[in-house]
Amino acid sequence: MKKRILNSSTMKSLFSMAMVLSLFFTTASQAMAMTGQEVVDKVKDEYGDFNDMVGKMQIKTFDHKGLINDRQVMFFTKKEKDADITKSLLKFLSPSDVKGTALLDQGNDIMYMYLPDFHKTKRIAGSAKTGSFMGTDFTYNDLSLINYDTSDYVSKLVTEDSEAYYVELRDKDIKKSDYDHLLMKVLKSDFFPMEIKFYDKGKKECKILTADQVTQYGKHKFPKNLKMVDLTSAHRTEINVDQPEFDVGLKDDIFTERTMTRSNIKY
Amino acid sequence: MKRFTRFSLAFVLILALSTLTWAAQTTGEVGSELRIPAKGDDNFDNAVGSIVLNIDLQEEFGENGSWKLGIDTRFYDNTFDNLSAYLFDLNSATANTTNEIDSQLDFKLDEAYATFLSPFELNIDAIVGRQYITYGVGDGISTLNLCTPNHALFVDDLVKNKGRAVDGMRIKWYPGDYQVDLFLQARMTPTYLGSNLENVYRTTANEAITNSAQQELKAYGLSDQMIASIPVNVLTTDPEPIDYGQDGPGLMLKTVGNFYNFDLGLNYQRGYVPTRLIADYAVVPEIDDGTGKPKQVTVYLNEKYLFMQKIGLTATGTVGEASVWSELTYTLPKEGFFASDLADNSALPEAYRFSDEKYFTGLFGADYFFKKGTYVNAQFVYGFPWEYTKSMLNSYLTFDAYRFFLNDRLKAEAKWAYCLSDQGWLLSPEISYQLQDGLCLWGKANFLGGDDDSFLNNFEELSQIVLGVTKTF
Repeated sequence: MKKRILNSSTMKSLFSMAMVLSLFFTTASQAMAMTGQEVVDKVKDEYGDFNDMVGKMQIKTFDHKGLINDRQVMFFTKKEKDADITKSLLKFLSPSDVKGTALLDQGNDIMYMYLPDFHKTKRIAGSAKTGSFMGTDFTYNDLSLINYDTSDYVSKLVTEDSEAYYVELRDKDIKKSDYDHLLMKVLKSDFFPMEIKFYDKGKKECKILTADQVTQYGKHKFPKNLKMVDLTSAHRTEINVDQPEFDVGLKDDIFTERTMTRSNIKY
Repeated sequence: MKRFTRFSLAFVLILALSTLTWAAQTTGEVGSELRIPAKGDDNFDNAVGSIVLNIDLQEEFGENGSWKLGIDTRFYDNTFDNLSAYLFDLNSATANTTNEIDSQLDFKLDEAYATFLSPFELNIDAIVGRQYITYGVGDGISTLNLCTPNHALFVDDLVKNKGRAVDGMRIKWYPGDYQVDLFLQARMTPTYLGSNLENVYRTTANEAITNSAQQELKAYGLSDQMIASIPVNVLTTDPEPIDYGQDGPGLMLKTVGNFYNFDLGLNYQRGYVPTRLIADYAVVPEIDDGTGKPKQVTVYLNEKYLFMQKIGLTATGTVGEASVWSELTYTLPKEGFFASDLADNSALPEAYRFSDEKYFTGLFGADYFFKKGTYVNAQFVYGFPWEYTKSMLNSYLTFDAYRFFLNDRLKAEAKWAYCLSDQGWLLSPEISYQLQDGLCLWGKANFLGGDDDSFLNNFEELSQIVLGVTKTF
């Protein structure tokens, strides 16, 4: 039997192949057993990987008697990665009783509200963010989840099935949190977080957020519809996101008191 | 300045009307309300019904401009009284002619302005025309809104504290981390009070003057009983026109910058108090030839608009989870405006001893949102907006709280103001229920009271319960 002699180049090739296979299997095994943090990081990479975003939203609230409010807002968000803050500006377009009202969050707890009836800008404090957001079923903290920002949460993979990962999110500051924990369902096929269940301090399911019609906008994907249902009151909020634009290069000038007062914001 | 006002208003109107055909954004509200007096007899006979229609038109012109036109109309009538009159006794109707009916129509050009926005690099915006101006930082009440008059048909209009729009030009400059805001007032807009409010205010002032005039009659050796029997007529002489040339234009200037989590502002304001004040008065007795004693007295009031300047500091920011704000204002009334003996007249109530003495006013307040959605707001105020001289100043506490119920359809709110100086108070609870999007049923009440001598107690008879429906579009 002729003993096969391996020269150095063959050895190198085999070694490289082994390395590749090893890496493949390592990665594959990780995919099968991702941590909760890895799942939410992947979600953020897939859907929240943008520096700024502009769009219009139609926000409708309902109870068992039907429609309560139908509001249209224009929103601007920008992530200041160096300072680790997100700036946002929200301008109400309709109906007439709130038209022109604007909310500006410059980060670091510097927030303003513009009241068009009085042509007045008012400084608002952190306590304004503790309740519901403009009569919807969202709290201000819930809104960060729409941008796939889970940086305030500790993530833990609790289970998975063939369809999805189920990740538990617990607020890092549990005393300030409105909830005991959240349970996020992330589809394995495209890492889309299609559902988040909210559990109150008594660990009872109290709200459920669902999203659908994921749409491709250039490089970015975003759902067209979001629905938050309050299970304790049968109250619900439906948000329709209209033609969002991503990474348009919003200037810092947008997030100022000056822009708040404008009836039409150019960017 | 009047020419400037007419020009700017005409400019905005022409601009507005010429672009209306471009389908301006039209919003507004239509509603109806019923005001029932809470005090006295025949409450329903004295109820007043109103129909309200407010329309706002707004549109862009080009990249860097927009205009707005707001028209407010309110027709009000003594509903039940007139209804019965029209049905059973036409001659007793309060409004017998078209002119009288027209007088019950409150129509005003609410806002009419054009906004010119410079490109971001220049950082200057200008707003020209009739516009609302708020320079102070107080919540609803401020010691730093010299150019803002009251516009109140009813007591609850005062509670709203919206004032009314004034004519002028506002320039905002954003040079960097601070902003400069200048408002040039084309002409002074007087305070407009509805007839009932005006009557109470006039009656109160006239009583004070009458008492003083009666004191002067003691010089004739009359007893108190005889003095009380002598009729006193109070006549207001025709007011002198405002001499803008002498006092200069009204203006408000402020600069605001952010320091250590607080927005600090420096203000300078000059202009006219929007309500006429008694600058001087003369007591002229008519002597009975037979007795040589006064048989009647006429008091001639000389009322004028007081020119003044204000220098103020403002601060807004956050402390913990609460918003806080404060104002400190130094006011300089025009020297020599009031007759020198007015301040020293011990026969007048202290509040009416007007003088040009300089004075400080101020306020501080805070608000907080509780976790379950309850909002509370409290302020300490020294010097309400209608207190223009040092002798008039009082200290007040104001509170405002609201909360939503029934899936945010029901809102309950209460406002309260209490005068620490004379124990007068005002309580205004309000409840509203949203039937469907934009359609709201509401009810509110305005109760006033306090010690007999308190200013707000004078308005006790105007306490009302108001029911209404409003549809926004």
